[in-house]
Formats: sequence, structure tokens, C-alpha cells
Amino acid sequence: MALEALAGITNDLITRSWKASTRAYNTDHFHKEEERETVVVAFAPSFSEKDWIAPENKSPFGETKMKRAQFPCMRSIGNDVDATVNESFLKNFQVLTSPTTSFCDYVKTVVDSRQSQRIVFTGHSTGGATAILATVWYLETYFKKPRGGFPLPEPLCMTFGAPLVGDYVFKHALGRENWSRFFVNFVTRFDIVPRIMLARKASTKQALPRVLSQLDPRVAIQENDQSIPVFYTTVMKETATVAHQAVCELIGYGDAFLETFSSFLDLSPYRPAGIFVFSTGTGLVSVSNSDAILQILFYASQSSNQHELSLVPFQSIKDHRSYEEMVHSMAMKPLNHLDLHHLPLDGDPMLRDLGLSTRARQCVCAAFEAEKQRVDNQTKIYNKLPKIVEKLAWIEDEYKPRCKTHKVGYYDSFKYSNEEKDFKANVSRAELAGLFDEVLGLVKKGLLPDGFEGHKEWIELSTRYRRLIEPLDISNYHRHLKNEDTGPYMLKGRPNRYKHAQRGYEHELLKAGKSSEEIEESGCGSCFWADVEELKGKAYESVEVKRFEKLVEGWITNREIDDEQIFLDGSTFRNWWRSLPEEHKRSSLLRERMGETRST
Amino acid sequence: MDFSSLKGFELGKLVLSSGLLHISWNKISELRASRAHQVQTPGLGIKIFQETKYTVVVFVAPPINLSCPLNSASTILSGTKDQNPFHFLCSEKISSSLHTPAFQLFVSAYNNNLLHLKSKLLHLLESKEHVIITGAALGGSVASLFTLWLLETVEPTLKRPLCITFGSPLIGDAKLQEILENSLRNSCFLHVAYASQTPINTDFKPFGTFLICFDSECISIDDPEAVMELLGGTNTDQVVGLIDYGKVLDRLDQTVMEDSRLMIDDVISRMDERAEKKKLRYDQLKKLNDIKISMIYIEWYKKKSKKEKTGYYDRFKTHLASSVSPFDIDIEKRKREVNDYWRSLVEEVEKKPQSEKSLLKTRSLFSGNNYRRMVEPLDIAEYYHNGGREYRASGRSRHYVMLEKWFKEEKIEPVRCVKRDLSDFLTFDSCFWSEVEEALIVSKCLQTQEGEREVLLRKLVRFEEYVWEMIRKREVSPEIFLEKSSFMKWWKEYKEIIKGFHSSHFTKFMNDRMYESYGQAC
Repeated sequence: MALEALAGITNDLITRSWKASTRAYNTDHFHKEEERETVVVAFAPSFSEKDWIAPENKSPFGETKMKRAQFPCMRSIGNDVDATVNESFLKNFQVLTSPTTSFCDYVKTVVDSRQSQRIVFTGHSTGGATAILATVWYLETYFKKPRGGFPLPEPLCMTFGAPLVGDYVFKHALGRENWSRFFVNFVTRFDIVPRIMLARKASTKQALPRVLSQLDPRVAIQENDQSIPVFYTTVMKETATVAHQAVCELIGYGDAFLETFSSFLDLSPYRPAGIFVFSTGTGLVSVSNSDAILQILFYASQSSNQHELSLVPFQSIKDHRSYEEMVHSMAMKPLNHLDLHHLPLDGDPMLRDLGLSTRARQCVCAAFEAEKQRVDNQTKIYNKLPKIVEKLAWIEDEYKPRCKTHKVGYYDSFKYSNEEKDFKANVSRAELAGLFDEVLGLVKKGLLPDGFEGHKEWIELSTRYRRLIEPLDISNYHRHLKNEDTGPYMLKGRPNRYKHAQRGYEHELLKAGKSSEEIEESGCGSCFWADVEELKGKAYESVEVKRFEKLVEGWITNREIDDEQIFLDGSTFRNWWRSLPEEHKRSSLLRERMGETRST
Repeated sequence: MDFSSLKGFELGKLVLSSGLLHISWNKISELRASRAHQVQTPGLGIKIFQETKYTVVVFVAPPINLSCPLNSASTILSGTKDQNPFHFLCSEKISSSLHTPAFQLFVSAYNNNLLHLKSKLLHLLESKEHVIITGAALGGSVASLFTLWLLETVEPTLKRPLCITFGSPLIGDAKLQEILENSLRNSCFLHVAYASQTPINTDFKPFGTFLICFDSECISIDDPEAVMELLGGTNTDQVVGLIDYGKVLDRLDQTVMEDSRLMIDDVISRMDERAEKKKLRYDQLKKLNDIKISMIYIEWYKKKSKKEKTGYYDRFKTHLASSVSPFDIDIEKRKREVNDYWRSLVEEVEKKPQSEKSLLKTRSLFSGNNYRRMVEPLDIAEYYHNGGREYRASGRSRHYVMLEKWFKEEKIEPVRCVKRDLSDFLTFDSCFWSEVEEALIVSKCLQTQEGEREVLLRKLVRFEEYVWEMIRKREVSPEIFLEKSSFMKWWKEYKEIIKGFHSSHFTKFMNDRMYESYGQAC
């Protein structure tokens, strides 16, 4: 088998992880094994209902939002929402990281000892769900910050028949941070567990306790239990609805009927995240496209063979107990990748093993086609980057210096808009707005690869754009007196493209170790001029002005605003400052800066 | 790969697996059964079923016989709001006609209980409840009509109801389909139809989404032409309403998933071609940013012209006579571009049903208004340059009229600061320059002594009053007072004409050159 090609994992590592997972059965919280440069931490599954569906949870799928304070990366930047996860799984994880266990301390010891190169989080069933959240926690705690000195043990999350844990945002956030590659989920073809979360808890609740007891490999299976076929049929019917809905959305994005109709359905929010390795009788198939995995989860459990179909419900239980066997036979089985460059053909033996029909293959292809579309969209944007850079460079190297020679600064020059250069700047502003609005539109609709917003290049460019051009938008807003017609810029006028750029920038600061309070406090420097315009229109209020002056100092240090421009003689800012009471000016933070430019 | 047929099949599966069809059909059967033993079946039966998750409203109607000629006739919608409950379906340009038997049943119930039902459902929708409105055969047609009527009052942001019909005759003509086509309302209709046994009437055109059932599979599409092609099964004399959709659904449910055996590739490919064309039309709306940029150019043109003491109105008129710089030629091109954009946008909006316009309008209300005030003077310049007369009455493009009308309807004239500097300001009345041109023509007549002097003079005084009113309210741009403007040309002539026997606030304002400080921030 050639899984190594995928995530650098060997058969040996898989076997070790599986062994650790089974040994974890009898531990309270976690089981650890250290061998050579690899540490394996395994978590025990639970087969009691409360560990699958939180009893007091009111949501139809037992879901809850992740707390931003604890998981700052697990959110969408474009739409500014936090990821959703199963509340029970999250609770299990919270117990693990609470002071009652030594888990956090142990991981810290591993990191600090500098002995290990890799730390594997693993588990069977809900133990896998805990492993997923523990890995996210590890990444958030240790991995997001760039660290000099010694390398961190690289995490790997290996699950065996784990239920789905998080929603689309969860999956998207892992993709954006380039963390998806650390998650490998093994699923045997008919295993019911990775499908359970796709059904509403109301419809599975009744049979769930019985089914869970059957899933526990330590308990003997009862072949004649009639709750199993009922449970299986319910889960698969709802899985079908989710899968059909998802594929319709992939093909016909924005279809109004689909939107109206879907609003009448309770659709599971859970989505596959990371790499899935499906195991069939004869081989292994690895897929990392979440949409394709979802389709396979549905279609692989279908069968056109009536006899096979009647056996599937029990097989769906047995398969959850068959990971031992899978791990044993793994070395002999071929591994195939299913991705953009390895699209399945009709009659492909690999797909036949998974039981995928022609229709199923088309649905899987639709998922890859959508991925290709996202990649193409990204390429189109990248092709436009030189144009963006050129326009920014003109503003920076031509427009700003030329305004400066008139001692007004580009904010005020743009506000008067009396000269040809201002007109040219206005055209550039509008053209850039078009480009950035287009990107934001794609981001919001999820029509770009998950990683797009995480690319350093993009964050830097959009920050440069925000700092340089937002003053022009503010200027334009006040030039047309929209503050009188519509309301203050910050409340009514600020374009979403700047809010988005700011969120992306702040996310980087957060990852670099700044606290969210610090970020919140330092405000937004590219909105400097909007603040000036608002203060100008108000009576002097000492606390407010002092607070603002302090912010200005910070913005100059962070290069959010250009101190060569704002202190120029003809600047609105300077004129406003001059109008402040003498008493204030004498003790002002900016006194020196104002004086400095006067003397030059 | 053919993804649109895949979408049709998958959407069909989704609709089928959702369970909503079964819920609806069961309630219809329930109501039908309860009416079956009544001695005298009343015309229309309506019942609300309150389920845990859904509110299901069922309409049951007597069976219809297709051989009766009345049953395929249509009623044209006309009349004012009080006479016609579907007044809102007539757009500013189109009026549609409806299926007569369904319409009559609807009207017969209208005054009795439908108003009450409507307010009840609106209340449910406001509290985000799921409302399903359903019916089979003629009952479904009435359900559709009721839903259309209900949707008129459903705000676009509110939860939308879902109307599910089973084997119902088509109820509206091509015009109705056209009105609904680009509307969110179209998304509220799901028509379940058994392919070989659903009669179609070519006077009518389908709207909404169809689930077309075949023996062992189904497909869900919303393209009206394709629906007609797939439904065009038989046109029998059979009484509609006897198909048991419960059985049809069960059979489809039990079909083991296998690959399609339908031979409908040609229907699908024609559908794709139509979709492609439609997409092209929609892309026009994406041009908004280009239009903004062109407006920036025109704004700059205006500014440059002001520096030359001409004003952009007169500069445009002069350059039409003798094309000068590439910049002028570019502006002419940009003017055409923005005109095209707004003309087609207004056309799109006009096709929408009355009550849905507001949403689209507010989005482009301000930019449309700004465009009108900025660009219409250039059209006027062109019009008079080409020898036109009476622009306001006979030369004005409809889209300007509509933009002005919509803006006025909203009554959201922002409060302006009295002291505001007016130098970037656009004259409120975008037809101002046509009034100036007319006044110039009158002055000329007076000089050449054509027509009755008294009448002509009265016209000029009226114009003077019109201008004075706008100056007084600060509703006119200071650019009209630029040295080389047509307005000043008129004033010079007018001054000569009235010398010695007419004086007013306006003449004083002009003679004392008070206009020089007009519009400055004070």
C-alpha cells in the first residue's frame, strides 16, 4: 500500500494507531504510547447515547457553535461565522482538556521535550471524534504560530469509523489553514457510523441506544435485532436527502427553487473534513474532496443487487467492528487516489468495489467539476493580480507624491477632485473596487478553493489595498456628502470588501499571537479619515479626542496610516487638529508631530 | 458530461426523498375522503392541517371534464385593484390571462373565506413557519392561484410558502410565465405531473418547477418548453383527477436506484441552449462596475467643461457639430454604453410584477437618479442638435420617465444642508436644458416676428418663473450661469426683449450678477 504518498504515513503507523485505539478502550481519558520519534495518543469511544447526542441540546442535529475564544481559527473569514460541531463530541473533548486530566500537560511535555517528530491523535468510533477535536486544539495551541528554534512535532489525526464532527465551516477552516492534510479517516464501505450524523436526531433517537450497543465491539452482535434494519433505512433515507441536495447545489448554484425547497427541510450541517480512505473487500480508495466523500458515503451503501441489499443493514453494523481486519489486510490491498487528476471512468473496478453506479459516478464527478471550477476561479484572480499591483503602484508612486507637492495629501486632493490626476485615481479606485468585489463575491459563495483566503500573498495584497485605497473611498463618500444623506461612513458606507480585508489581516495578527482584545482595541487604521470627518463635525470632547490621538500613534507604528501624508499643511486632519482648544494641543500626544512638519 | 440532466434527476430524487409530497398527498386524500360521503359536494373545499413541522393547506375541487369547452378557455385579467384580485400580476407592460374554471372557483371563494385564510397564513410565515399549500387536479390550480395571490403580500425577505400541485391543468398563459420567470415567486411552485396522463393546453405555459413522473423514474425541471415537451403525452377526454399519486410516489420510492433509461437527451440539450442564452442576458447586470467607471468619465468631462466656462451641456452640443478631441468621442461612446445599460435595466424591472419592483428599485434607485440627472442633458443636446422640438413631450426616452417616476414614488428626497456648496450638484429637473432650448426658440421667433408677440412673451415669462423657482430652492446647478452656456445666451436675448417694461426678482438677480455667488457654501 502506498499511503505514504498521501500523508507520510506507513502501514506500521496505521497498525500502531489502531492498536493504541483498541488499548484506549479501557482508559478513562486517553492512552499514550511513545516509540522512537512518534507519540501516539488514543481516545476511548463511548457507546452510550449521551456521548453521541447531548441530552439538553435543542438543535435538530445536536450541533453547537465553537467558541471563538477557544478556537479562533475555526471560522469563516468571508462570512464571519464560527464553525459548528456536535455538542456531545465537543463536551467529551472539553472534559479531556479540563484540569481533571493530565492531557494538556502531557502534550506540553511532549512538545517541550523536543524528542518527538510526530504526535498522532487516534481513536475508533467517537474516540475518533475526540481525536479530531484534540488535533484541532493542538493545531490552534501550538501550530498556528510561526515558531523559530526547534521544530514542533507534526500532528496527525487518524480515525477509524469516526462519526462526522463538524460542518462546512469546520471543513473550510481546516482547508484555509492548510490543516486538512493532517486528518486521515478510515471508513469501511458499509460502516453506518460516518453516516449517522446526516440524519436528524429525532428520527434516529428511538433506535439509537440499541444500535449503539450493537456497535460496541466488546459486545456480541445479535443478528436478529429488528431495530437495526429500521435504523439503517432511516439513516440512509436522510443521507440520501442530504446527498441529493448537495449535488443539486453543486450543479445549479443559486437555483431559487432549490433554495425555497431546501428551506422546508432539516438538512444535516455535518460535512466530511480531511482525507477519507474507504476500504472495500479488495482495495482502498482515498479521497479528499469533501463533496465527493459525501456522495460516496451515500452511494457506497447502495446496491443494485437485491440479495446484497437485504444484508446491508447488518453489514453496516459489522463493518463498524471490522477495522481490526481492515488494518490486517491493508498491506495486501492496492490504494487508489480519487482526485481532480484521477477522475473515475465508467466501469472502473475501484468504483465497482465501492458499489458506485453510473449515476453515483456522475455525482462524484460533479463534485470534482465544482472543485475544478473553484481552482479555475482562483487562476482567473491570480491572472488579475499584476493589474491590481500596477494600479496600487500608480497610486503609491505617482498619485500620492504628486499630491504631496501641493501640500494637501491625496485624501484631500481626491476630495477636491479638480485635476486630471484625481480623475485618474478615481477611475483606478472604481476598477479596483470591481476586482475586489468580485473576489469577495466568490469567497462568500464558497466558489474559491478553501485555501485562498489563507494565502500570504493575498492577505498582504488586500491589506495594502485597504490601507491605500480605503482613504479614497472615504474621501469619495464625503465628497458626495453621503454622510449627510445616508449616515456616517463607518455605520452606513463602509464597503464589505474592506471589512473582509480587515478580518483577513486581523486573523493573521491573531495567529501571530496577538490577543483578540489587543486587536479590538487598536481599531482600524484605514478608517482614520472617517474618524477625522466625524470628529470634525462634532463639538470638542476631550476623552474622545485623546483616545483618537492614541490610536493614531498606534496606526503610524503599524503602518496603517501614512504619516507623510496626514500632517501636510492642507490636510483636513491638520486643520481639524488646529481647531482644537489650545489647552488640549499643549498636552497633546501629537504635538511634536504637528510641530515637526511645520518646521520642515 | 451532461450535468443538467444529472441535476434534473438528482433534484427529482431530492423532492421525492424529502417526504413533502407524501405529506401533501395524504392530506389531500384525507380531505377528499371526508367529502366523499357528503350528499351534495360543494364547489371548493379548503382545510388547514396543523402538523408539528408543517402547516398544510389543502384545496379540493370537483373534477373537471376536459371535453367541456369552457375548461380550456382563459380569462383575461383586467380592471383596477378593487375589481381584480390579480391586479398585481399585470406588470407595467403586460397583462395576463388565467385558466377560467380555476379562476371562477377562486373568485367564488374569494369573498367568503380566502381573505381570512390569507391573513392567517401571513401570520404563520412571519413567525417562520413552514406553509405548504396543496391540491390535486383543479384543486391544485386553485391552490396555485391562491399562492400567487398570497405571495403578493409576502415580503421578499420573509419565509416563502411552497405550493405543491398534483396533476393540475396549467393555469396561466405565456405572459404570466414571463412575469414570473425572473421572480423569486416562481420558486414557490412545485407541480407533480404524471408524464403520460397530464393534459396540456397550448394556450397556456407552465411556470414554477415540475416533477415529471415516468413509470420508474422522475425528473425535476423548470424550463417551460422542456416541460411542455415532456408532458405532451396524451390529450385524452379522460376526467382529470383520478390518478392516485400516492401510488405513483410509492412506486418511484421503491424503484431500486439504477441508471436512467429515459431517452430525453434532445429535450435536455435544447433546454441547455436556452439556459445559455438566458445566462448571457444576465451577465449584462454584472456590468454595473463598468458603468460606474463610465460615469466617472462623464463626471470628469463635466468638470473639464466647467473650467472652460462652457458647461458640459454646451460642450457636448458644440462637439456634436464638429468632433474635436478623442476625449469627446470617448464620452459619446460612454454615454451610449450607460444609456444601453439603464434602458435594459428599466425594461427588466418593468417586466416584474408590481409589488416586486420595490426591491430592485431601491438597489439602483440612487444611482439611476444620479444617472438621469447627469446624462439626460447630453441626450437633450443631441436631440436639439438634430433639429428636434418639444423634447419633454415627444423626444424623451421611456426609461428616463420611469426612473423619474420611481424615484418620485419613493419620496426619499434626502434632507440637504442649506449651506451646502453646490458646485458638484446636478440640476433636479433633468429636462432643464430642453426648457432652455424651447425658450431660445421662442426668443428667436420674437426676433423674426413670427407668431403673436403676446403669446410668445407669456411663454418666456413662464420660463423665467420656472427658472426662478429652481434658483430660489437651490435646485439648479450653478453651471447654468457659466459665460458660454446656452442659458446665458438666452438671458442676453431675453434682457433685450424685455428691456424697460418687465422686472422681477429674477431680472434683478441676473442684472445685479447675484448669480456669481449662487451655490457657494455660505
